[in-house]
Amino acid sequence: MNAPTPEPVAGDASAETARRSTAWSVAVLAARLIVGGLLIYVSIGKLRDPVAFLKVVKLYELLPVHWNVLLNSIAVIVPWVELLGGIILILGLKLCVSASVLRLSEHTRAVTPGIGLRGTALVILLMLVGFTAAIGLRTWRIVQTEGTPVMEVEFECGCGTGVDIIWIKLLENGGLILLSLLIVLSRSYGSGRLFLPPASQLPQPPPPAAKNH
Amino acid sequence: MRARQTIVEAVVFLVLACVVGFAFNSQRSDGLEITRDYFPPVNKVPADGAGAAPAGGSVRDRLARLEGAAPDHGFRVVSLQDTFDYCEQADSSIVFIDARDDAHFQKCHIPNAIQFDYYHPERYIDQVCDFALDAEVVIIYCNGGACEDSLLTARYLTEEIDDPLASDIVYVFEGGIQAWYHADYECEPEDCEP
Repeated sequence: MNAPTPEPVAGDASAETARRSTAWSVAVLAARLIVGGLLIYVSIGKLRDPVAFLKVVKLYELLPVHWNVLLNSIAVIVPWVELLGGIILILGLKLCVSASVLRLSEHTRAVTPGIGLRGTALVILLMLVGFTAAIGLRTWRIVQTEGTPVMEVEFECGCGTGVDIIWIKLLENGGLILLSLLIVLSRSYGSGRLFLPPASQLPQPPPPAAKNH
Repeated sequence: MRARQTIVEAVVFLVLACVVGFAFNSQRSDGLEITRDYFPPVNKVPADGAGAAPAGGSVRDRLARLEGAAPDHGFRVVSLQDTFDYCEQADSSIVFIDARDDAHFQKCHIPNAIQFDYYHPERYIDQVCDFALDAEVVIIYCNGGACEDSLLTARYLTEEIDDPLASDIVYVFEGGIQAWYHADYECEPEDCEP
């Protein structure tokens, strides 16, 4: 006669879920601190010297010659995207505007306008992807025109860290992109907080079902 | 719904950053002029007789005999040695213009050079005009190497100001302060490093 299979305890699965959720929250928090801190750091140099950043942006030659308004606007806006984005990522700020204040329609009210962590992280992610692509394109041009080996290409990329060895910079940016993606895709309740919530707010295991005899 | 919410948040954040960025830029004294074309193409046609050797021994005559005049940008270039020779003469008819910002100029510059920050011309144009309009030779330099500020300044002073300089008196010292410094020539302030 076979020994009865022990019934799984409902609390085990919930505890496992809570552990995974906590681990995920820690990972997202770490991502926010790393990306946010780095953004604030690189934004300061650009805000101090907007002309220097303008010259660096111009060197990428991504815009047609007379698109000076867009070029100048990029030099003005990017440092603030980085600074404000870094602050929002670190503090996990969320600012919502009441739909009734904006007199939105019923359909639009389903979406709450405001500033939130995921939206900010999405902008940061797209910006990092764009920067990385621009760096890659400029590297390719240098390799094509000057014949410099890829691993030896170095220039000031506009990241606020002076002249960089570009393949290292591309790896760093790749890491930042992954961290930003982690924040955007996070479903964890912890992703909106700077600190982990107290244990009482962790998911509690459901009470065990009563046995029928 | 979550994706839509995220996109709305992204748009709102971007709008906020734009508003703050433009507002802050408009209030700061060293902000950028959004509509200004800071990098117009410098494709000036060289003056007639560029590189020719007119008679006479004036400063301009000697510079006019230089080889290698009329590079792509059209302004005459001057070598490190000739720049040094004319700096040594301390001739009031020769004016050196440093096309860099305050921090770089104050840190180190060629002796007796006057500053003209191309990106904030309104601060320096009066001083430059006072010195340069009566000059026989105006030598413009910047950091050297890939820096284009000396060319942009040359173009600005010969085309955009109310009383433009004659293009045939403007020369560009392409080596810049870096070439000057590494040749161990005297800089101001003493013992500085660019």
